[in-house]
Amino acid sequence: MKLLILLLTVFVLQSCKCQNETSTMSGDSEQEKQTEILYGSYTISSIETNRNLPGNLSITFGQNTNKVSGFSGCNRFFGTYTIEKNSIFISNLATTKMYCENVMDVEQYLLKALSNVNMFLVKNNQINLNNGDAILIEASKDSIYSIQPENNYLIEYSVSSRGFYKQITINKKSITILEQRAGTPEAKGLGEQNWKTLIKAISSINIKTIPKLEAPSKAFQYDGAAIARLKITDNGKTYQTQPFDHGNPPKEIANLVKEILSISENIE
Amino acid sequence: MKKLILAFAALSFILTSCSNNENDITSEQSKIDMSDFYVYTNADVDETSKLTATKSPIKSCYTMVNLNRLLKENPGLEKKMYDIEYFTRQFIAGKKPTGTPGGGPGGGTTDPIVDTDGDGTPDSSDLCPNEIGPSYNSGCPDNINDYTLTIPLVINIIEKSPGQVTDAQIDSQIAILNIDFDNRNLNKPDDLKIFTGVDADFDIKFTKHIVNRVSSKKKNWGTRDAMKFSSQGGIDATDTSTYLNIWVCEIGRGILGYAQFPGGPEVTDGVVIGPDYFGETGGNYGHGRTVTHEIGHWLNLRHIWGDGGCSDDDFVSDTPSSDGPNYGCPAYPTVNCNSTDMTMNYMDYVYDDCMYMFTNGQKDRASALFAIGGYRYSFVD
Repeated sequence: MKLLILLLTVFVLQSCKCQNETSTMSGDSEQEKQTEILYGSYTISSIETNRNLPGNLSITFGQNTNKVSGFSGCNRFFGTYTIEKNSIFISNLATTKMYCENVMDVEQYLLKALSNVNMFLVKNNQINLNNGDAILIEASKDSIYSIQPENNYLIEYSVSSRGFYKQITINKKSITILEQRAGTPEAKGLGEQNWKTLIKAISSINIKTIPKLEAPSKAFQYDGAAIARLKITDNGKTYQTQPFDHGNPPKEIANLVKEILSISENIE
Repeated sequence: MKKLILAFAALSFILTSCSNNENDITSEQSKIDMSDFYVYTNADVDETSKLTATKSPIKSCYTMVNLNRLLKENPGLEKKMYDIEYFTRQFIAGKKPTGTPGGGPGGGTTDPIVDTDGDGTPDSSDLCPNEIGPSYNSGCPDNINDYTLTIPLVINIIEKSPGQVTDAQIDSQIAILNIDFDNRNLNKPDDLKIFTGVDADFDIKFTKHIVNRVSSKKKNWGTRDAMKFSSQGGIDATDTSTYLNIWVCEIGRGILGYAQFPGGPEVTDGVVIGPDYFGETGGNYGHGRTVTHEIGHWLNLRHIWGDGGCSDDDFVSDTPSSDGPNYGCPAYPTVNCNSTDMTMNYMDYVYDDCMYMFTNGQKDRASALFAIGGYRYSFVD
């Protein structure tokens, strides 16, 4: 009974969390879309088209926080940003106060350029921040968790209990759903929007860590849930989760699993 | 009563695991390796230090590596399951528990041998009565231990219309259980190949105590135990310390049946089965083996593949390691983790007609529950 209450509590907490997420997401949809495009970490490649820079200058735009931060050569900087369509305003810029040999000029150069930025443009994982007339800063998106739509992930989700089986296999172009163990796979077109949705969900996961994720419940041990597994293949490398309860994935991959299931159910 | 036994068991654990002046027991304890035990999670070594820092004498006495965050917040259940597992291993390690004849496992320190048969000497014959009293796997020699443990069933049927689950279904299910737990499955070939001699007779007899019925329009009952409460339209359990409760109802979501391991809440103790998989109904899963499998869990058996990869064990030494369930009717040999899977074990996921045995190691685990001080000793007492 205690366990039940506990499970319920966890469940309630989780659903609260989801609601929060949805409510923050459901702001101005146009602005939300733009934030989404900008969100992420970038390595700065040029300042006023000058490419002779240290390789470690960076800038990060938070997703729902409107916080911007980065490394300017010696110190870290912090600020807030607001965007409207392609306009961007960076304000409240502050930095840590260290002194470093040789790079203080670059740092000042970057911070000055940043404070003059009022427009942005995103193209192929590259951003340029400009003032309407000239490009002030160019940067390329870091691909540690890699959000590259061209990336050829293979996503597999399998569910099985003694009396139930479903295997969903998705790549950029197609989705295959198998509902019998020895069934014949039949691929259907995936659609670009679905792929984008999945890529977005994957981008918030460090896929290298999924084999270590802890299942929040293991009812499958006593047949109380079907056994689920998620497998992602990225450039020939395969990352697979430990078994978890279908219907209760580890929270890190919950959104991706939700999208996979939703797409698999709605594909015609 | 059960609480008392549990408390007693817990107490004896404290005694057996913490005392240094009882030589027998300390040496016994050193044999009990719990390092691979998991309740709901895979290894998390960091837990060790946290645990040893807690005040509980039980927890600080031995290393408990694997704990789940969820269970940590509900130490009652986790501790119960851990204690049961510890007891089970102690029982298996001792087999003739804790060295002294008649010392029940775990209770060995407190049971003096009493001369009950009046032959003048308190000896093993006093503890292994031939006819009177329970002796189910209490460590007595085999030749006098042909007592069959009887487990009375309370069958709780939640059906759409009265009589949907027929009496014939009920009786066929009980007959199947009495075949399976008596190692008489007709699907078992004469030649078990590499598993020859491993198949076990559990010596358990199931009887029909009572059948409760209720009608409900509810489509699916899920796996969160709603069917076990009259307040939710189900049927309340009947004394789970002396009856095995079986709920028969539509579960849904591809679940044929589910169980509860020993140590879980008393009010939900038992197994749940979908009506299509209860008794002789026909089809791949229509020969009653789902119930056999679930009762296996109720008897503290894990899935034969250990619910994880090759290194996750089912805590049974005579079942080969595997990294996942087998389905359908697998060909022999089916090799996983460099060994031939025992696909025909009731604790795998194959079709009903393709599973036909438990092992001696599994029987040992189940037997520990019914030994003196064991979690289900109340069924014997």
